Amino acid sequence: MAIVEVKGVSYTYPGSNEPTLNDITVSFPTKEWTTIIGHNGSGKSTLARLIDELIPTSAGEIIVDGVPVDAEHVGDVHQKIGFVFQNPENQFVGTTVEDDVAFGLENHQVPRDKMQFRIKQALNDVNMLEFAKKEPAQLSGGQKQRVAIAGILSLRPKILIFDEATSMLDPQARLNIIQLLKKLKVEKGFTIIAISHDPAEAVAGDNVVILDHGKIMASGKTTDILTNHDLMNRYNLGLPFTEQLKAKLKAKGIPSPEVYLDEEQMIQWLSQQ
Amino acid sequence: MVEPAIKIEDLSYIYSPETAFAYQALSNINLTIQGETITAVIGHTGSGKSTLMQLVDGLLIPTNGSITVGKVKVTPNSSKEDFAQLRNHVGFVFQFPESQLFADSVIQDVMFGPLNLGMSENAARRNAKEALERLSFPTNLYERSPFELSGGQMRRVAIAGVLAMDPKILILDEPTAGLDPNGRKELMQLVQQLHEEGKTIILITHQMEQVAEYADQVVALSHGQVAFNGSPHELFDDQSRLQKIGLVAPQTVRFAQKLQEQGVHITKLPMNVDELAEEIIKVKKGMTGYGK
Repeated sequence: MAIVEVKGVSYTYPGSNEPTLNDITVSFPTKEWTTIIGHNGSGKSTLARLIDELIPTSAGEIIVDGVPVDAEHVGDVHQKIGFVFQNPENQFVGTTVEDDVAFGLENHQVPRDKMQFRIKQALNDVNMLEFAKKEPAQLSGGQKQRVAIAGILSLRPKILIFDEATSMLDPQARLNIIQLLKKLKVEKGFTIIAISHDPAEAVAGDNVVILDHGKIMASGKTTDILTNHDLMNRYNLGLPFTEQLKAKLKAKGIPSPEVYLDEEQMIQWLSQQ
Repeated sequence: MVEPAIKIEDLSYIYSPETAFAYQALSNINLTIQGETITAVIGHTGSGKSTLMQLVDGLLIPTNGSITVGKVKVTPNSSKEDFAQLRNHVGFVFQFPESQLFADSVIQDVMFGPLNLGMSENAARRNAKEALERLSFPTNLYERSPFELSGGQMRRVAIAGVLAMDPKILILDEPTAGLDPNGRKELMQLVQQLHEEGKTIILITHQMEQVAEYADQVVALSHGQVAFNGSPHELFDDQSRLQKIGLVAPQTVRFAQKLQEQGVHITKLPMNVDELAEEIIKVKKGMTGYGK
């Protein structure tokens, strides 16, 4: 079952001659993590914004959890989707970290006694609880992004869209967030749509969609797409770490298994040789 | 012998001092950065990296201590002119610099900095064009509004705006964040090229892969203090220190260390995937101890 269906969607920015998205049809399976990859200008952020009705669709149709994405249903769609943007600087509204998370909850009229619990839980999930009383000026970009994610988690949407949202986090924090998202997906049944140009991030998901020049070039299971070096290189996407290593080894006459191996599996395979 | 480009002595910084929000971001930093090198400044989020760099660029007034850049020295009591001098020597490319574009056209945006430094219209235009060419920015887009460009193009316009002022020292705060793999490679090649042309580069980064591949010197900050100052090899070789600072070694180093734990005998810490593949091949072919 797909929770998000995109059917024949095209989009051209006002004043532009070329469409940014050209007749896109794709679906996002319920409770799965799908990563849309493509380089800058491929149209991936535009697609994410159309799904959340942040910009209006000009041609085609998008259905989110049974609701058509249009001007009439924009409120419903926003209830279902939590959108985390790339730049944390533009997402901070509160005077302290906990106020910032409270802002969204107040907007959704969550009662005060429940609010405190949800704020704590969300900040704890993103490892920012000890910063609850800090001002935004005292936070780094990565910390602000974690607060933005906490704000979204506290609203408990069904679908989470991350638009390059971990690109500013340090490696450990990034890994923590990715682990957290995996956990949230399994335990709370979130559907995750992640926009990324980084194949390393796609590794964490179930499915991958490749977008190039506003068209869908491939979509399928993560392990099938990421092991297809020709495909990944054709669209200049780079390869995840273990696939890079496999390619280098192969070039020097050491063939390795065709199937996708994560780091642990690759180490196991190498040490058993 | 190249002179030190930056000398930092007993430097401390407190945000919102004497208020309930007072927060000591840096305490007692002593640091020398040599000219014409690439220095990586790393550390966990909130370690004080950005604060330190803003001090070096004269954007913040130190609470204690001093910063010397070339012949300019600033202390808590320095005049506004001294801080302005500091900014003339140092070009700062902020995180997501494209968010600071504002002019009607690309060329005007890039000319803004040089004009602000008092250059003539002609000189500013020449500098702007040079900077844009250096970044291989397409000439047919010079008159375009910067807001019609893609994210990667906007990033390059913003960097050109800093380069056009021809600073001796260039600070880049996470310059590749948000760029695709191609854009990242191009940008790091540019950094390398500027370094070869004699600029002193300070790279604030979370990407240990970049540190391993490009940095001559690496300064790690932790809780507002210098936790490490040395070469990338030295830093990544000491796992317990890395852990204490809260850093993760580059993927290639971690992978090599795990292989070692499994009994695969790796002789040299690989700083990139090529070196890692070479190490593995040496082991496979039973040629350990064989040089590069």
